Amino acid sequence: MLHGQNGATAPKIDTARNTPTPTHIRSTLRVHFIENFLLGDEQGLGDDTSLIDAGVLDSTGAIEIVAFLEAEFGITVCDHEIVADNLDSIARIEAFVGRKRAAGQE
Amino acid sequence: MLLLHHYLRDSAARFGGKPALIVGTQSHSFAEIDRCSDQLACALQRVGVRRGDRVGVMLENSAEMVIGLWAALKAGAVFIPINHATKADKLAFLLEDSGAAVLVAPTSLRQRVRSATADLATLKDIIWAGEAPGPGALHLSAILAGPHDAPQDPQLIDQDLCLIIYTSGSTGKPKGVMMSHRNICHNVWSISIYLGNVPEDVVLCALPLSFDYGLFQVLTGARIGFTVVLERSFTFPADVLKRIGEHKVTGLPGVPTIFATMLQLAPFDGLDLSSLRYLTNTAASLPPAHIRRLRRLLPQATIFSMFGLTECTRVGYLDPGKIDRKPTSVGRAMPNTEAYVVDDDGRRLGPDAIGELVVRGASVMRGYWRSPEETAQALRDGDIPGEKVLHTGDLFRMDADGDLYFVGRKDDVFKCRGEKVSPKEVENVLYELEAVGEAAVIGVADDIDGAAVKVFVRIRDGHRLTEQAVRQHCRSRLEPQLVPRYVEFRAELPKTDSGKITKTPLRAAGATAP
Repeated sequence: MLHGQNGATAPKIDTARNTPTPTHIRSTLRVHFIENFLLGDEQGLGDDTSLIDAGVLDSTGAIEIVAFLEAEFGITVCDHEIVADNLDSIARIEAFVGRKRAAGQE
Repeated sequence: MLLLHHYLRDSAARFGGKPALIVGTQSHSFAEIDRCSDQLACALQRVGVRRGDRVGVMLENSAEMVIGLWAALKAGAVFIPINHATKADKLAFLLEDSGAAVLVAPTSLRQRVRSATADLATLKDIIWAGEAPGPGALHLSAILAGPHDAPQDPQLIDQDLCLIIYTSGSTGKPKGVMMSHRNICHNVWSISIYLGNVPEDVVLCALPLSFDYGLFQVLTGARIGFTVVLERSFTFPADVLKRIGEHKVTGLPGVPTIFATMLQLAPFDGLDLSSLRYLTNTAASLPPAHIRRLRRLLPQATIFSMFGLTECTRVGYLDPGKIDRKPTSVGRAMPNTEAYVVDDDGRRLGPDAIGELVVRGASVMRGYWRSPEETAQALRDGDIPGEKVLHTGDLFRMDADGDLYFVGRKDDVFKCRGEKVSPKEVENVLYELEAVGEAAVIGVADDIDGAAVKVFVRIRDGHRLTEQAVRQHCRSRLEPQLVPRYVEFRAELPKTDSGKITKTPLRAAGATAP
């Protein structure tokens, strides 16, 4: 199991039944990053802050975040989707998860 | 006489407006880097930096990091690259141990830097990079925007130190590897000779410049006059690989983690990697299966399997013509360097005998900064009176053709993502947790990272501790590659008869789990 997932107190969503709203996605991501990467220090982590700049992402960080998104939101992330445009801020991740879920429901 | 920064001066004269660096959408010419580093060198001299003083630069991969390097040398100082992920305690140690006169650091890390530098008597000033630091503080952008001025000649000779690079040791306390201008110029020359670098090369560097392998891409670029496409990291591999087609990159230096990550994107649909002339790998060996896949996917690229350590930069490389036949070998010594295997008494061993690798030549460091005992361990008398040779602490064997094979370490240091991990350093941090009764750290095999950090902990009676709490504490105190991937709680840890924790049974258990 990848680290950083256990014990996070983010709002849990039953992905089989409920579609997370953007607010849910944002708050889930924010809680996860703050608790697991920023050690409770949420200063400076805006929706558009680069997660690399914030120190959330390094090369293993990206792998952890992908594993978290897959487990939390029931999406599958391909290797070629692990790009800054999709993952380098809370807003970008939220949009990416939204697109993936929309595509998955078609 | 040749000093390292003469490479930049000469390339600025020869290639002027050609890009030395491409960072994101910005291109920086040799002339610009030369001029900007003059200005920063003047600023360093104005705050009192003199020949032999140490200047630390703690920046991410950026033009500013490169300018900081050249400026320190032009001012006559010794450049100390510091990883921007370094936590406050370790930063304080590095600055105090080196006696740094000036630190260049990002304004965004203000809090961490301030807390690390609060009690440092030797630090004359901090130059802040990025956003404006506020009144009275030195701001890098303002210095670089000022009128051009040339620094005073600090009267260096090539025996003067040019770099101190801190490396993990078995003691858990980082050691500063001292390299002279002569050392580094020699190593840049030797490496660029065997790689066959030409000014038309374009090298993509996603390795941190705080790591000598990353730094050497910029140094070699300055000697040869090639362009370095500098990336902040390999976090988003598809983004980084796109740059290869975009800039017709010819050289890709990597470590096994980078190549393993890259192979996950195979067969590279939509990516143009046809310009790649060579790949280099060092820090840990590439698995033969990965070599075969890279050869198949990138048939036009030559793969250099190399081996090195900070104490001499690089030891050698495998003749690329032998890579299919000897995929696990790191070959032989680079030009003007000798490498051989010795027994415990320092006698040279014959083919296939396992012993310690010894390196001899102009590549070998001047010693560890302010650590005479550790220096005496590593640098020992050679065959010629007065000559010191480097005992690497690495166990090797040499085949009958003279090609070298890495066997293991003499101590329990291992490498994760190509960077040395000192189990002691991680254990020291674990013991800061009150609930930790005993802790032992080992490396377990990992497909992507080479080795991953695994910790075994005995929780003190009456205390509670979770995996998450262990990782969070480590994240706050250690660089990312040192944070444990696996945490296992044990009721007791195995001991020797004398009561010392023994890791042998843990390694046997850790190799298969989790």
